[in-house]
Order: sequence, then C-alpha cells, then structure tokens
Amino acid sequence: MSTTSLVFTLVFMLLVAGVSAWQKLDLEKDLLIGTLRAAVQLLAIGYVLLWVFKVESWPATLAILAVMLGVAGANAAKRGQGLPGVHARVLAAIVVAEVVTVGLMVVIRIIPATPRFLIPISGMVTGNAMVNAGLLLNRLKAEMNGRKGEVEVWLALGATPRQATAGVLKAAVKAAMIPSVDALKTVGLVQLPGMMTGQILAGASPLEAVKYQILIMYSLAAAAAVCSMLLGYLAVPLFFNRHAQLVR
Amino acid sequence: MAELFTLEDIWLERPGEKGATQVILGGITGGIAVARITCLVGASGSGKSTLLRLLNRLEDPTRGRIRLRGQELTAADPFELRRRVGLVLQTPVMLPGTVRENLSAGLRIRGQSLPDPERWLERVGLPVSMLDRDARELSGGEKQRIALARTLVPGPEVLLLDEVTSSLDAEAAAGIEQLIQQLGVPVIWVSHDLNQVRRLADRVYRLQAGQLTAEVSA
Repeated sequence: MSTTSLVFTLVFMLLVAGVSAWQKLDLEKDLLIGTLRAAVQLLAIGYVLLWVFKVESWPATLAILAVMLGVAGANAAKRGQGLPGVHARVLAAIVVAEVVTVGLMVVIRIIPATPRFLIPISGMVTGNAMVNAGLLLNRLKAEMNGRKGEVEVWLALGATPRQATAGVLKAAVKAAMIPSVDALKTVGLVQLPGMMTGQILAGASPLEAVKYQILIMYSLAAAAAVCSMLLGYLAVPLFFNRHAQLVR
Repeated sequence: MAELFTLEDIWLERPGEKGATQVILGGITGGIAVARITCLVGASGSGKSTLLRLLNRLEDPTRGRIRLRGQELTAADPFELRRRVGLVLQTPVMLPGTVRENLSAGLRIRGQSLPDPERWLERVGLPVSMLDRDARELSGGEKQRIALARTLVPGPEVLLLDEVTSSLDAEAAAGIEQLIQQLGVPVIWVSHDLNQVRRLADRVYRLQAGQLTAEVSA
C-alpha cells in the first residue's frame, strides 16, 4: 500500500466524525485522539518490529513481550475493581497462558523461536487472554453477587470457599470461554480473521494463510482456557477472609 | 443451668454510607441456656438474624467474644464449627441439582456419601419419590423442609433457625413447627410470631438495647 493510499484511509474516520457530528454523539474529540493514537502507535511498532526482526534482538523481543503482557494485565484488571490484589493475579494468569501456548508452539516446533513469529503470535494470544480475563472477572463478580445465598448455604454447612464457589466458578469460566468457542465455530463462515486477511492481502497463498489461522484459533482457545481457569482459581479467595467468611 | 452460648460485649459494625460506621450489634452481653427450643425475639432490626450468623461464624463480631459450651468460637476450626452449629436461613435456598444432592451436600464436602436419603425425606415428612426431583422446582414449604433436613444430615449439636416459617402458609408452617418439636437437637429459633413463640418455646430471650435477657423461663 502506498503512503498516498494510507492517507486516503482517513476518509473512513471522516465518515465516522460526520455521523458523530450529525447525530450529536459528541465523539469528535475522542475520535481525533483515537485516530492519531492508532496511527502513531501502529507506525511506531511497525518501525520497532522492522528493526527487531532485522537484528533479531532478544532483549528487545523480551521487552516488547513484557510491555504487551503488562498493558494487557493492567487493562483486564480494571474489570476486577474492588478486589484487592486482583492485578497481580490477572497478570500471572495472562503470563501463564502466554508461556504455555506460545511455549508449546516453539517446543513442538510449530513455529521457530524467532522474533518474527514470537512477537505477532504472542500479541494475539495475549490480547485474547486479556479479553478473556476481563470477561471472567466481570462474570465472576456478577455470579458471586447473584448467587450469594447459595454460596452462604455451602459455607453454613461447613464447605471451604473453593467448595462453596465451585458452581459459581464453573459458570464464570464457561461464560468467559463462549467468545473463543463461538469464534472456533464460525471462523471462515462469518468472518475472515484479521491475520488471515492480512496475509492474503500481502500476497500469501490463501491455503498457507489458513494453516496459520488454524494454529492461531486453536492456540487462542487454549490460552483462553488456561487463563480463565487459572484466574478463576486465583481470584476466588479474594472474595473471602481467612476465616472462610464472604467479605465481598 | 448450663449455657449453650455465652456472649460477652458483642459489637458488629459495618461501613455505612459516606464513610460512616453502621452499628448492627452494640455490645450484646448475655447467655443462652441449653433448652429444647429457645426462641429469640426482638424488634425488627435489633440484630436477631445477624446474631445467628455470628453463632455459625458466617461473620465474626467486630469486638467481643462468643463461647459455645465454654469454648471460644474463634478458637474453633470454622468448618468444623459450622458443622456443629447448623443454620437454616429465612429463605430456603436450594443448591443446584436434585433433592438427593441437596440432602447429601453437607457430607459430600467431607468426602462422605449419604447412605439413607429416603430416611431423611421421611423424617421431614416428604415422599421418597421426591429424591430425584430438581430441588429448585419444589414449593416453598417443601424447600424449607429440605433445607432443614440438609442442615441436620451432618449431625449438628445445635440448630439455628432464622424465621423459617415466615414465608410459608399456615399449613406448611404448622408442619415445620411439628417437625422441629420432634428433632431432639437444641434449637435456637428467631421468630416474629408471638403466638408461635408461646406455642413452642421452652425459653425465650429478648434482644433489646444491646442486652440479651431471658424473658420467660420454662
């Protein structure tokens, strides 16, 4: 794509701004900031990746992965507001999901351990784990609130917090997994995912693009499962005190 | 007479609106003697239901000490204490699953199974055919009977009842009353219904102005 064509893509943002002004949505300022940030952030990471791929710098690769994980952890932890200590647990769950899935890809030699593969795939896995962690926390809080009576019945019978919340946790993990499961079911029928579309537009064979997309879809589902189960396990104790009393 | 529960200057405070502290229980002192059925009465908002939660350790007081047969509650393992002090709440919440699963819940959490669920259904006056029904589809009175049996299964040494008949019709309430009179476990029953208290109580305690006082002795 030429630079001129890239500049012309602004027409889409002008369209959005036009709708906002027409309908008095008052989104113009946010749209301007969003448009500039998206362009600056993506161009910056583009130049950084160009350099990292060229020199194959491991410190730079690890720094990029650390920033991705840190931002994802901080963003998902916002969904757990009111739960002290939730940030560290969210971060731990996302890091474990990333290490398990991407690590497995490298160990069984699906992808080579080079920055060109590790960075973009980690970005997708981490981003998906972030969304999954946020959904899990949201649902866990709602379930704990809505099923407080049930949890207290278990506690009053002498159940441990883990026993008392087994049903609640199951419902929360299931809800957090729904987008990943639905994506597996509908991919290729409803949408052509971004990575695959990008590869095809860049000239790759559709079949080659599909192979990578299958890898991505399966790994995202695995990351979502690891992230939601681990985060659920780590987050449940935050609702109780050391005497197994419900405090939130 | 031997005291079942001894309360020493029990305070319970919770965070209120705009950073203020809300006093739920303000320095309750007194003792509850061992009796077959002890009724706990008091004005709405006097903290009767909250007191039951403290006795089962669903909550701990902010200050003060509670003893069960002389042993301080905070010194006991909370899981074992909750087995010893059964609590049936005002609204009978059924756990997801069948009646059988509800009845055995208190044993399953300890890795045990319930060999005779039929006997427990009969004990609370319900038909054995109900065992595999979804517990959430039962009527209010049936749910309350299941909640009672579910609490009795692990073998508590005292049973706390929080207005367990208040949401039931007269017939269902009479059934529960009759059942509780035959339990053979000391019962502490929070009730608003003074006629019910007169009919059932061996002892009555009133919770008022921070004091727990014996009102009628059997």
